[in-house]
Amino acid sequence: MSFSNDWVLEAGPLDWCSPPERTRKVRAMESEDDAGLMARYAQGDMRAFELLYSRHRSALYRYLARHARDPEVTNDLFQEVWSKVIANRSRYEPRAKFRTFLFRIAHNCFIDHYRRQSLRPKQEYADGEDWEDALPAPAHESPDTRAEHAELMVRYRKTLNALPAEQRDVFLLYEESGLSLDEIGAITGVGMETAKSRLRYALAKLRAALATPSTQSDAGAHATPLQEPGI
Amino acid sequence: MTGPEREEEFEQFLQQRTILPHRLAETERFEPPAEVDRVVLARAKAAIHTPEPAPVFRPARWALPFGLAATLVIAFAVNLHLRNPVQQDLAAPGSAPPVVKRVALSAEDNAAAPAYARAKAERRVLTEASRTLELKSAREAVADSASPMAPQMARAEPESAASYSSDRQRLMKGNTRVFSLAADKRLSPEQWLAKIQQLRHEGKDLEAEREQAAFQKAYPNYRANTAD
Repeated sequence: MSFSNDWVLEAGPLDWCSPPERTRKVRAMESEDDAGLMARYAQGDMRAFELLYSRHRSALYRYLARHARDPEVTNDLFQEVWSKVIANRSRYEPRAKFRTFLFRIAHNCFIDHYRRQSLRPKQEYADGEDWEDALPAPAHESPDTRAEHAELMVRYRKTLNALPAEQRDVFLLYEESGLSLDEIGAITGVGMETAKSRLRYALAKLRAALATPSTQSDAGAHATPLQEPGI
Repeated sequence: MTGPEREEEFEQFLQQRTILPHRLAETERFEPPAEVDRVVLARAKAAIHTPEPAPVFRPARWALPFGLAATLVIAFAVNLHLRNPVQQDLAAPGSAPPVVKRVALSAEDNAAAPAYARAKAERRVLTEASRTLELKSAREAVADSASPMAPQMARAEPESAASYSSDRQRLMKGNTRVFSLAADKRLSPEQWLAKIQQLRHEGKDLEAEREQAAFQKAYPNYRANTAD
């Protein structure tokens, strides 16, 4: 966790504190769990929300991005999920982890998105080019390394997209959310053993794709849309 | 790849939560754009300053019509009950006639009233009581005619009716004041005789004779004086 981003620690209720006291309070808040931060935000503490947001923004964004494969859709869904969290701040009860609550909202938003999308013709991003390649790459890598990594990642992503939607969902939830298989089963509406089985199948296919270069480059270009839980 | 190897890889994945090599995993660089961050934080901040809308109470659709109908039914029933309670009580067989109770109460109330008003009230009360008795006897006659003891009861009917009418006459008579000289015990024999003489002078012979008879009954030993 880092506060180095420019969007955190904006003007807030700790502005009246002296710098050492503010640092101490921020550190104390940092050790607070998500449920406590959500409760503080419901009482009007904006800094608690900033900290909560900083904890989960990357994982949630990655989960949505790897599902949607479209930056605009990803950004829209990301904002929609957080808007629902904000709207439900007073009704949130810490019966489960905040992370479970967050990814359940994300999962449901994704199902709604695919329902809406099923009524419209599918739009390919940049004439079939994988949109993730358009993201800026780290500058410290050499061109050869970048090419090698890019080839591996292309295979990996295409295999991931070719996975059945249920397997991909469980795999992405496990990789990105940090939740247990029990919690993932609860989010997706299946039992823990079913979630584990789906994860096992997804992992076997992805390992096979990473182990055999040049065979799967064009395989599985079309991803299966996510279905409702239990289908 | 054998089963145990796969199982080992699966367990390893469960621990590491990624199948990519460490360096490649680091290149998974999907981060929300700064603009999206600003939008989300701005929404969160605006939500704090905007109070949440209170849940609006929405009554059920059937509540208003049901309430109106219930009110009308209750109002009608109360109105009907208050309008004529006497008839309802009279119609109920076997119950004590409430008129009698009302009569008793009014008689008590009239105890302190003047004599004329009291007599008038008593007469009215007795009239109502007799009417109630008539209703009751008629109802009993109808009820008894259907029973196996009807002939015996029919024989007893004239007697009860006669006694009832005589009682009524006696009651009515008792309430009319009879002014008689004989009843006036304050008159001395001389005064009574003077009154009788006065009646004769006035030409009221019948009354004089009746008073004379009453006087002789009251004072049988006064013959000697009258001889004078």
